[in-house]
Amino acid sequence: MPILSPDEARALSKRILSLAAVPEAEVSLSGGPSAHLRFAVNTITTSGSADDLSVSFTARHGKRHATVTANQADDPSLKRLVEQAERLARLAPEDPELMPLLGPQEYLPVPGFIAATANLSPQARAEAAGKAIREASAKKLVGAGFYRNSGGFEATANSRGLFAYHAASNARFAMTARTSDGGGSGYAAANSHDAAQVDTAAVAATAADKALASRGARELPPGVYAVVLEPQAVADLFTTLRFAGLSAREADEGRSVFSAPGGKNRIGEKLFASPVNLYTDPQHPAVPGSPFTEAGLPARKIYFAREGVLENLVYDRFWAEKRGKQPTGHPTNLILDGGTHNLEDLIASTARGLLITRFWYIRAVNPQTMLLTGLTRDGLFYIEKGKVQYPVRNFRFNESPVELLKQVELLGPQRRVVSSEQGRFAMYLPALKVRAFRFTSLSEAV
Amino acid sequence: MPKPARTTRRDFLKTAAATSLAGRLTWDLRGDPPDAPERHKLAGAALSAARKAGASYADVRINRYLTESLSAREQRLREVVAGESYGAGVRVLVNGTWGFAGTSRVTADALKQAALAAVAIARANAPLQARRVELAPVKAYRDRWNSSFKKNPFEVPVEQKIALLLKINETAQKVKGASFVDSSLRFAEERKFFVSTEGSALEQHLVRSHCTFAVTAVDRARGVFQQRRSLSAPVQRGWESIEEYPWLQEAGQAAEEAVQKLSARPPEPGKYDLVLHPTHLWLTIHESCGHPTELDRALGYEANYAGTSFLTTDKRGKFRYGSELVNMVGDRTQPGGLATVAYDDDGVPGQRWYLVKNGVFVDYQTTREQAAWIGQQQGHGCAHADSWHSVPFQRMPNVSLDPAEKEISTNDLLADVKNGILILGDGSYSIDQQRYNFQFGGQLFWAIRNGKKAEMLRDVAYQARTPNFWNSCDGLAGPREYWLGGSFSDAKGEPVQLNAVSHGCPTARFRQVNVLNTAAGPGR
Repeated sequence: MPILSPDEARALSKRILSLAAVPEAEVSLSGGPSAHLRFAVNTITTSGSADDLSVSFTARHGKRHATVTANQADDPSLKRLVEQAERLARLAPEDPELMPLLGPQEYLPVPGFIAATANLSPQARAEAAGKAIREASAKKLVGAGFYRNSGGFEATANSRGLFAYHAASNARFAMTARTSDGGGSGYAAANSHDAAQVDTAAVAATAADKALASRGARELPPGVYAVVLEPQAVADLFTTLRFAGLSAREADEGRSVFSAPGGKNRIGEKLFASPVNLYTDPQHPAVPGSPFTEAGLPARKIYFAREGVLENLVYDRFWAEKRGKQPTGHPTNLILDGGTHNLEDLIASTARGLLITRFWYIRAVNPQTMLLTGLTRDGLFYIEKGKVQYPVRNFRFNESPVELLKQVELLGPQRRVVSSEQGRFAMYLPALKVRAFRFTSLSEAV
Repeated sequence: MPKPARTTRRDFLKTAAATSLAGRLTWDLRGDPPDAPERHKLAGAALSAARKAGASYADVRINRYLTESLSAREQRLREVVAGESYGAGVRVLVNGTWGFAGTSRVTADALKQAALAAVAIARANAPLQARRVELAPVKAYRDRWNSSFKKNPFEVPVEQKIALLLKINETAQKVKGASFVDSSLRFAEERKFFVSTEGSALEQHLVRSHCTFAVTAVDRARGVFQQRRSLSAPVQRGWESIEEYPWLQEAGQAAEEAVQKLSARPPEPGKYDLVLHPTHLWLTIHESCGHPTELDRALGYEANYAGTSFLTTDKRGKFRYGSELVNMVGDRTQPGGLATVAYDDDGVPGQRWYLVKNGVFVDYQTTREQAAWIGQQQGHGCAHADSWHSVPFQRMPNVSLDPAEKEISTNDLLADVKNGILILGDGSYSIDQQRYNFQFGGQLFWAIRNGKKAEMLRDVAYQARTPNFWNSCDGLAGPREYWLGGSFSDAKGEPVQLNAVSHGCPTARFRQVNVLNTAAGPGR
């Protein structure tokens, strides 16, 4: 299915809403092409392309509601979709938290769609990957990587006249280079809404440099170290913060790191170091988000932390109304302001510590403190007297991103990054110098 | 695991029966799928287009996926969502290079276009192919298969499902101190049709079911909270699997245990003997045996994402992975197992084979393509794609730990522990990219002293190195305590694909494992 234009999406939404027998209903549409290419052991492995369309219809009977999603848009399929949702909605119990449908809204313009990125040819992907494979082969390294390009639209409409539409494209390349003896490994990645900005040769060169630099890693004892985190490592840690950590309701209910005793939350408290400004901004030029969040709620710039003070949390419409707040919706991107220093400055300021380039397999351990565990991967280096001295063996950590933001000393330049494990959510994050970070055991994995 | 209690089951059925049957979900939203001759015609169009364009091999999958999910929070039903995804994927080999294209438009014309797009991708990639893909031979099969289920959950009235969730929540909420309860039901149904240029034509129909819940107890005065999740597991079975489980009994018990956890003490960090219940151990098996015995990982094919494996090919047949007691089996035939199939997505029959035998690592999980990589004549039938629009690749079969031959009980295993911890339920999990260093939490922790289960603990995690851990295994319970855990959504590959997989095991004992106190927090 090609990407629907705003007019086509509006027409399809209207057609679906016109089939509804219930007085109130919502439609969500999304779809478009995506294609990918994988390589490993310096050879191509699997690749493919697909297009899809998702049609989601939510029927409302008073306070009862149900949603049905399908991927066919012919009239008989749409009719069945609507009937099914209406039948289920009649059977659902009343939902005391159901909010009234929003009427028409104003949305910020968010440019983020480049047709050439959405429609990249198989030859263009092969050429992009070929550069990376050649880089690895030339340095006698073993390369594995992934290139993906996509384009898509999302639209939301409802029976009160709301219509929201957004189109976005994305290109992402990630590569791991390993030495043939398995003793060194490096990772690098780039992503953008514009494929022209994704330089696969440069990514491959960085991965290769890290692989070569990580050979002959020495063993250091686990413990608390000062650390310099590259933006990729910060992104890997922040994913949990974004997914699980920012709910206002959980904080108010006493089951979050941002809960305060007595049914309160910690908004207004200085929880982080002074330079910490953490926010979402749908119009940020480096990481354009979406102009709307759930059910067509307009997205806007929202600070979660400003100058180290917790300023806001994520409020859905129900909880916002209950607490007399403005709803935020879920952020569609995340930005942490950077500093005036470069990465070398951060390293130069470190008397004794570690340079972390990537984390892996991060999971929540204790939600009370947002304690996470995970491991360093693909390049960990010992810093002494302001200089990178030698590579070291990987560590497992048990640490909290909340504590990390409290311990921030210096911020470096920002880069557009996504979590290396969790996927596509775009963040614009700086390198960080952090006073103390806790490693609990060694890992011999390379 | 609590034992089934008939009275509680009747209780919820009674509630559900009081409502009408009008909520029946028929499995096809779109209407009847194309009949068999029509499907063959559609697939044939793609196969011949692929052949004409130069493919030496092609297969077509025309698949329909249904999902249904319900979730409730306390006495509020949060959502009922039904979903369907229907489409076709065409995979080709041209000059030994793969190509693939998927389309949601299941017409002869769209399938031909997909075949040509797949061939174009293969041709574009051919210059980057350093080693031609060779497929191990497989017979042409023409077969139909249904996974094992008695009651298709998509034909069970939705009111019955809603009633179950609200009753679970009500039962838990009755316990003093239980602050929040979240429960959910998820069902999946797959109707898969596979044909290949080698003459196979396979139809498979799979059904999976999962119910779970979590109780949170909050002590607002102290500003602390604890959670206890259900010990239930998803299965490749129907609604009968939900009916057989003692939900209400467990809901009440879980609520009491969530509250009890608030006043439990954390462990003193150090070395302990661990007795791990199957509701916990399945996940440790998944991470520390399931993933490292994937051949693509061992050879570097997943190096950019999931990682590689410490079980390199030179170790096959020699490496002491665990103690003599440890026998791990790969199995795509196990009844109820989430990864059980009659044929994989290469058209290879489901099979059962040992990965670890008497403690020695002996074999890998493989596909048709991978067999040649290690000189095997045939693959182990581990190809899987999670959608019509996904490319099949090697995915995990059910990987399970054999029980002891004798009927040894968990209590027998406890009897020989002076200072240990008994762990039930899965919690936090993390393992490095070569599957050496892991850390696992759990749901319930009990101190073991002088052979007896003693007081409850909280905030326990253990950390170990895979071969050391499995070599420290010195006790397994018998067949009666064997239990199948599992997950609906094991992630692997780029783009990430999900695989449902089960892991069976008995309770097992491990000596002198490093235990952490995760309540110690990040403070310094």
